[in-house]
Order: sequence, then C-alpha cells, then structure tokens
Amino acid sequence: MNPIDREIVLWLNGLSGNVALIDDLARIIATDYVMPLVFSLAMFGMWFSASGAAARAKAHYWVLVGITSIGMSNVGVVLINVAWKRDRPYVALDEIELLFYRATDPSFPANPVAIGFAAGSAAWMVNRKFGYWVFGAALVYGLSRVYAGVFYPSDILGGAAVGILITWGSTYIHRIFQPLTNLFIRLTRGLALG
Amino acid sequence: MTPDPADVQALFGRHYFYFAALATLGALQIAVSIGGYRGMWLLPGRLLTRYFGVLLIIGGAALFFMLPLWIDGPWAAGSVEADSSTRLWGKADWGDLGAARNVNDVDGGLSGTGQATWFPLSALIAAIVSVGAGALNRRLFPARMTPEQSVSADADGIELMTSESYATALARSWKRFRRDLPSDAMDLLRKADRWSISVWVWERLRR
Repeated sequence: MNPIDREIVLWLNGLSGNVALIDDLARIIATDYVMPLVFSLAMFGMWFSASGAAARAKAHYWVLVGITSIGMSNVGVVLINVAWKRDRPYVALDEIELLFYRATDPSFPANPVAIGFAAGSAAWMVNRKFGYWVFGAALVYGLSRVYAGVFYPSDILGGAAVGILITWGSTYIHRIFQPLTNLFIRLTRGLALG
Repeated sequence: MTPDPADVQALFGRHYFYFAALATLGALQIAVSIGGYRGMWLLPGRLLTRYFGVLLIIGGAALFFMLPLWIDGPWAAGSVEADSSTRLWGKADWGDLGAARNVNDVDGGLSGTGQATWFPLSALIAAIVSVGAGALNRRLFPARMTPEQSVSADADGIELMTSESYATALARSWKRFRRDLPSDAMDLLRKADRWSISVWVWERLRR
C-alpha cells in the first residue's frame, strides 16, 4: 500500500466521530443518490439553458458526449476492476471507522468520481466556470467517501483520470457515428426540445 | 424484523422518483430561466422561476432524506449502522437521518441502473409539467410572459419558446425539420469524418 494513501485516509477518516453534524453531512454527500443526481441534473440543465443557435448546438453535442462518457466510465471502471482488485481501506486497515455501507466492489478507481469528472469534463467544454463547479462537486463527493473510509485518495485521482480520459475518448465514439449525433440534435430541435 | 431486499428496493425506487422528479423540475426551471424560454416557465417571471427551481431541488432533497422519519423502512431507530445488512424495519430518529439512506444495492438500495431508469421518467414529467404551466402562464399573464425583444425569423426549436407556447413552437419546428431534413442530412454527411461508420454505410448504399 502507498504510504501517502495510508496516511491521508487515516488522517481524514480519523477526523470522523468528533462532530456528529459533519459526520452526517459526509454521509449525506457520500450517499449513492445525491451527487449522481447532481451530475445528471448538470447535463439536463446544460441542455435547456443555452440560447442562440451556435451555443445550443455546442451545448447539446457536449451533453450527448457527457451522457455517453458517464455510461462508458462505468464500463472503464469495471474493466480496470477485472485487472486489479484493490481492497477497500476498511478491509486493509483496522483503524478505519466506517461511516458507509460495506461496498462489495474493488476500491480503485473510484467509480462515482469517474462519473462526476466525466460530467464535469463535458460541462467544462461548454462553460469553464460551470465545469469547475461540477469538478468541485465530484471532488467533494470523492473526499466525503475517503472521510467515510471507503476510498483511498489515489482511488479519487484514478477515478478523475478515468472520467476525463473517457470523455475525450467519447468524442471519437460520436465522430465514428457522425452525423447521427447531429441528426439526433436536429430531431430534438424539430420536437422543439432542443 | 429484518427487511426483505425486494421491499427495500421498491421503497427506495418510489422515494428516489419523488426526489428526482422534484429536482429535475427544479433544474429545468433554473435552466429555462437562464435560457429565457418562457414557454416552459412555471411562474410568470424570470427570477421567480429561478428561485422556485432552487426551492424545488432543496425540497426534493429534504423530502428524500426526511421521509424515514414518517415512513417505515430499513432504518428503524437504533438499527442504523454503517453495515446496511443488519438494519431493522421501522421509522428513523432524527439522529439516524444522515445514514438512513446508505443502503447497499445488494441489501435493497437503488443501483445505478435503477437510478438511470427513474431519471429519464422524471425528466419527461418535468418537461410535460413545464410546457403545460408555460402555456397556462401565457394565457393568464400575457404581459409578463412577452419578451423585450422578438425572436428572430429564422429561430426554431426551443428558441421559439422565448415568445411562444410549446404547441406553436412544435408545429413550426417540426414543419421546418421535415422541410430541411434531406439537405441537412447531406450537409452533415459531407462534414462527417471519412472514417465515420455512417459515411461508410451511406457510400455502400449509394453504389
């Protein structure tokens, strides 16, 4: 085990148990429901907030790339898990105070962070400021899980790298199938929803 | 009583749907208030719509995390531990709320696939509610729902909802889509990469 990983997870998780409110906040942020919904809402909101033909076309293209990359990030994480099954911190370290349920899948890379960074990359391509907010949300999500004792910091970094790389790769997936992506965008425009 | 994962999943699915429906409606209202698409505003005013959107998202999250106080589920007071397999069925205490929703999908929590099913349904409902409310607002508050600047003549799609209802925007956009589709498709095919599968298929079909 990487000693830096060990030190950081023990330090961050060691802060738990002192202030009940912070522990509860970490549990809520770390839950499976809030942040994934936030990332989906970011894509959904991006679709409907752009105005002007060129800005809309750009936003719609990147929302579709973002949705693809969110799906592909899951596949990427599963493939990495096949090659390397890293134990969760609460399995490897006796000192960990677990605040979250015992996940059964491997630790590296952090799947939820990969999804967040995939959504953030797509958002960043449309609006830098909004992209940084989504990246920030993904990072806070990851850190809350380190605090809860279910991820190492390097899992977060791995997840971020997977999310960003897969978003870049997803642009090629869309180019392979062009002009279907742009025809779909035209269809949504025909339905007055794009 | 130890919860049956199937019961837990049904409960989580229902509660997640409430949360997602309110949050998608809220996010949609924030987005269309930024875009200026009055045909989808729930309330007759840009800022009013935006703040109501924020309220809907906060309300959805609050409802999701506070329902365990009033609804029986795998969060009975005293049994809410990090390990979600040892929970008991019942109502939660205030102190349990942070952890109540952290249930592994093998114990009945909602998986990513489950969430991916509920989210599009929520988005669809949010869009239907918004276009309905937008049309109603245009009738009830015509002065407040008229934009300062008229939409350009070549506008189509959602942009028409800056000043029109969804029904009008749909009729005009669909007519234009059908008229322009053949030329648009050819134009897009010409712009696509040579290694695009669609281009490859199109060239084979033309032979």
